[in-house]
Amino acid sequence: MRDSSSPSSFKRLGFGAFCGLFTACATVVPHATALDAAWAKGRFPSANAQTLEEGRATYVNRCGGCHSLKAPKSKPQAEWTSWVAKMAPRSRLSELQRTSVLQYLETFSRP
Amino acid sequence: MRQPWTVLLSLALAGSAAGNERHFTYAYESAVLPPGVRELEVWTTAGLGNNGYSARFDERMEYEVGLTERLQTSLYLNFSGYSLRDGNGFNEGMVWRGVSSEWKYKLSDSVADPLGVALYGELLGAPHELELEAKLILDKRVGDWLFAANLVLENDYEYFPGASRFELKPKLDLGATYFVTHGFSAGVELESASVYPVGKPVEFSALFAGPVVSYARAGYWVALSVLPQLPAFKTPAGSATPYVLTDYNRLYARLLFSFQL
Repeated sequence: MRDSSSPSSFKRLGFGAFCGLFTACATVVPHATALDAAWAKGRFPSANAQTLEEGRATYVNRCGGCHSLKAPKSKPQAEWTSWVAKMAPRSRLSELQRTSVLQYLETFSRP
Repeated sequence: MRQPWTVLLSLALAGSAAGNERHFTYAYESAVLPPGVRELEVWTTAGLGNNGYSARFDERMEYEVGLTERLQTSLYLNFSGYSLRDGNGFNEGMVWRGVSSEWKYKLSDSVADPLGVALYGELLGAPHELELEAKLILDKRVGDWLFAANLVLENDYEYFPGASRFELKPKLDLGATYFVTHGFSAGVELESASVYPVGKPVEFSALFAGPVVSYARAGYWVALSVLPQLPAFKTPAGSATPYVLTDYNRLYARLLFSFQL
C-alpha cells in the first residue's frame, strides 16, 4: 500500500490546492478584449472596448453594491434585458449607464 | 387556490436584490451601497444567560446611504433593554447607548476581483463611553459559496467619575455561507473577542459560533444568527466556568432586517 503522506503526495496536494485557489480567484466578470469589442460593434454600433469596460465598471460598482454579481454567462442575452430594466431604477442608473451595462452583459453572455 | 407551501416555495425561489444585502450578522462584506441609494436597517441582538439570570436586548437603528461608488456612510441610534437579577429581585430597564457614525470604503469586489476588500471605521459616542472601531473586511464569492473574514480592533474608553478605563478589544469574525437559491443562504459564523486593558495582559478571550441564514427579495433582506458561547480561550481570573460570563452572555441571537428607502 502506498504511503499517502509521502513528499510526492504532498506536492500533488499542494498543486491541487493551488489550482483550486487559482480557479476560485479567476473572475467571472471578464474584461473586454479586442475580440469582444469586435463582436459588440456588430450588434451595437456605438460599442467599443472602452464602452464595454465602462459597462463592466458600472456593473461591478453599482449592481455589486446591493448583491453578489452574477456572471454574464449565467443568463441568456434576452433575460439580461429584462433584468437590467427591472434593476436599473433601484441602483439609480442613468440611461447611458444602463445602456453600457446591458451592452457589456449581452456581449459576454453571447452563445 | 394556492397552497401555503407553494407560496413559500415561490417566495424562496424568487429573485433577490435590493439594498446592501448582508449574509452574516457579525462579519461584514465588502460591498457598499450605490451612490444615492438609501437603506434603513434594524438590528436586534438578544443576549441570554450569564452569572445568575440575565437577558439583554440591544437595538440599533441604522440609516445607510451610498455616497460614491466606493464609499458609504451610516448613522446609528443605539438602545439596550435589560433584565437581571440582583439582591432585590429583578431589575429591568432601558438604556440609551449613544449614536454611531460608520464609514465604509470598498477597495475591490468579491466577485469581479480575486478578493473583496474594504476598510471600515465606526465612532460611537455615548454618555459614558467613546469607542472607535476599525475593520479590515475581506470576502470572496466562489460559485454558490461566500466566505468573509473581518479583522477588527475596538478602542473603548469608558469614563465615570473616578473610574475611567481604556481597553483594546481585538476581534476576528469569520463566516461561510452557501446560496441555496439566489436569495436564500445558510451557513455558519464565528466570532472571537478578546479584551486587553491597556498596559496589562489579555483579560479574557471569548469564542462564539453558530448557524446563520439570510433571505433577500426585491426591496428588503433579513439575516438571522444564533451564536452560543463556546469554551473560552482564556477566562477572567477566578472564573468558575469555561465561559466568559462577566462581559458576555451565554447565547446570542441576532436579527437584521433592512429595507431600501
